[in-house]
Amino acid sequence: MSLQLTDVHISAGDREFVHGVSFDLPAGGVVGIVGESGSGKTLTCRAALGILPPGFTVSSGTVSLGGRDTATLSTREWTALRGSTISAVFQDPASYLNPSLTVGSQVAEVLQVKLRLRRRAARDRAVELLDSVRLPDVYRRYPHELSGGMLQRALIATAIAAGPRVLIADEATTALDVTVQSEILDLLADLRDSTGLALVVVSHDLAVVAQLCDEVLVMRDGAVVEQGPVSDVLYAPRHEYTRLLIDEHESYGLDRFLSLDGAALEGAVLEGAVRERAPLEGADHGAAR
Amino acid sequence: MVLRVDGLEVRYGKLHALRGASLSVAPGETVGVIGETGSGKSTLARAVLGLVPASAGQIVVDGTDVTGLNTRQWRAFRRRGVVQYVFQDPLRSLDPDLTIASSLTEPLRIQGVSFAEAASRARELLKRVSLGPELLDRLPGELSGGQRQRVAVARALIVEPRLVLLDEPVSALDSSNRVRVLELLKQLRDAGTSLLFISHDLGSVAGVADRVAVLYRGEIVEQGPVRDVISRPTHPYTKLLVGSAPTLRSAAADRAARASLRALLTSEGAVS
Repeated sequence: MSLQLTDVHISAGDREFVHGVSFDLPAGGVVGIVGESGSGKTLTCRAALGILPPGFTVSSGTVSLGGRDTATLSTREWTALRGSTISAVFQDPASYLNPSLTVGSQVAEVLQVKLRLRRRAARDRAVELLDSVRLPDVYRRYPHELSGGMLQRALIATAIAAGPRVLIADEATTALDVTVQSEILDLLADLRDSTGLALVVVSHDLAVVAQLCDEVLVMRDGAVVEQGPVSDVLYAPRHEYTRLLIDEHESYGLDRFLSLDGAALEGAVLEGAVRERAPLEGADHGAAR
Repeated sequence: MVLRVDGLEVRYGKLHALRGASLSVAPGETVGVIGETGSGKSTLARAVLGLVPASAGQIVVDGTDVTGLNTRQWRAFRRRGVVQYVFQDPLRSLDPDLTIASSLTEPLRIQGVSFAEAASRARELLKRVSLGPELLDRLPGELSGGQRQRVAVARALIVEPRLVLLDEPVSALDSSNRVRVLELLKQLRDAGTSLLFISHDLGSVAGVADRVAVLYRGEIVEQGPVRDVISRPTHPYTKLLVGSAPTLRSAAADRAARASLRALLTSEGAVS
């Protein structure tokens, strides 16, 4: 198991904020957590990363990473694991990059610190990593020269630089346009396929989670109200709140058009894509699925 | 036509924000304009309201060619209340220092309507957007985001405009308020108000609009009835947009299809 949470409760003082979260995430697996703000999804992620806000603790239950109970880790051991075993990307990528340093140098710095690479080797590897997130030619660019989607891809390159086994994406596409969101989600799926990276995808949007995940947890007010394989949760939701999320999507998403014309659409999109396929780099990156 | 935009170009210095956009809104029709960041959608809204000058093309609002109007002529035209607007942030369409009652009645007072009549219209309009008269004495800052946006819609409607232009009216709202405002827009549509609904979100526009136009890099690359555009998109960008929308029943395009559409759009962008 890459990451395993067993009945994790999170408290601050005598108030409990998360009332028991459990999931097993195998290598190459994808777990989704859906909930609105205040549902406890971000606290759960922070517990998995060992970065709970001051005053908050895992009051009962266990978080284990690669088979090790993280409660037994010293601060130093945690620092060593973070980045090299588990890593994360969040909303608002711009705030995680230093505006006065080039994007490439910030990826390279992670490699120098975490993998103890020499400067030259770190630079070469950083260029490779940026290529792998489809950002050729940005090594010497500054954060302000990149769009939101490009910044998030640069952050993903930084997050996977030290070869983690688990990546947490907490509302990583929330602030982005839908075509850019799909680009980030597709990139995460490609990384999962090519490297066996396990993913925790956190979103307020059930559909984002449904795109990518094997298992989904629906959280509300700190409790998991529903959990199971994506198809069960979407097609046979048991909890009223899950049903509400699905109804909302069906009345205001594109689903109502697609459910009628879905086959036609898929045909149209695929047919058009094949006919118009341009012989360009990256054109085939999804074909390995 | 309530609105006819023909070959509209807008430049900001070197930046070519709109490159010949054409669209029209018939009386009683709701037209959606879909555009993501940098597509030129806000420029389109501003141009229609006379807030940025057109470098080429023509804008005709309810029979008046507004393209060449000077500032004073625009002011006179606005006073007629033919076009009203609702922005993403209702604090931009409502004066933060005016009570809701004053914001609502001001456009009528400018037209010379008596105070008593304006006040009674204000109450009526609030009711129409499902808000109580107790909000009349409040300031915009004392209302929730969803309430403010409904007041902004009421303010836009009070002069019985020929066209209401909505620029991202639900994007700043949480999902329950978004649903309420979209329901309100549907009621307006059904009551025969002409709407131009500009948004980055195909899903919210699709539920309200009769026709939809897709704006990409300053050009309208595709337009037609909502169902046709969504179920049989023809332009690669529209295909990517529809194929990127997160859906519950995964009927959207798959990763490989999206990747080739992106490659195609990148190569086209490099050429133009």
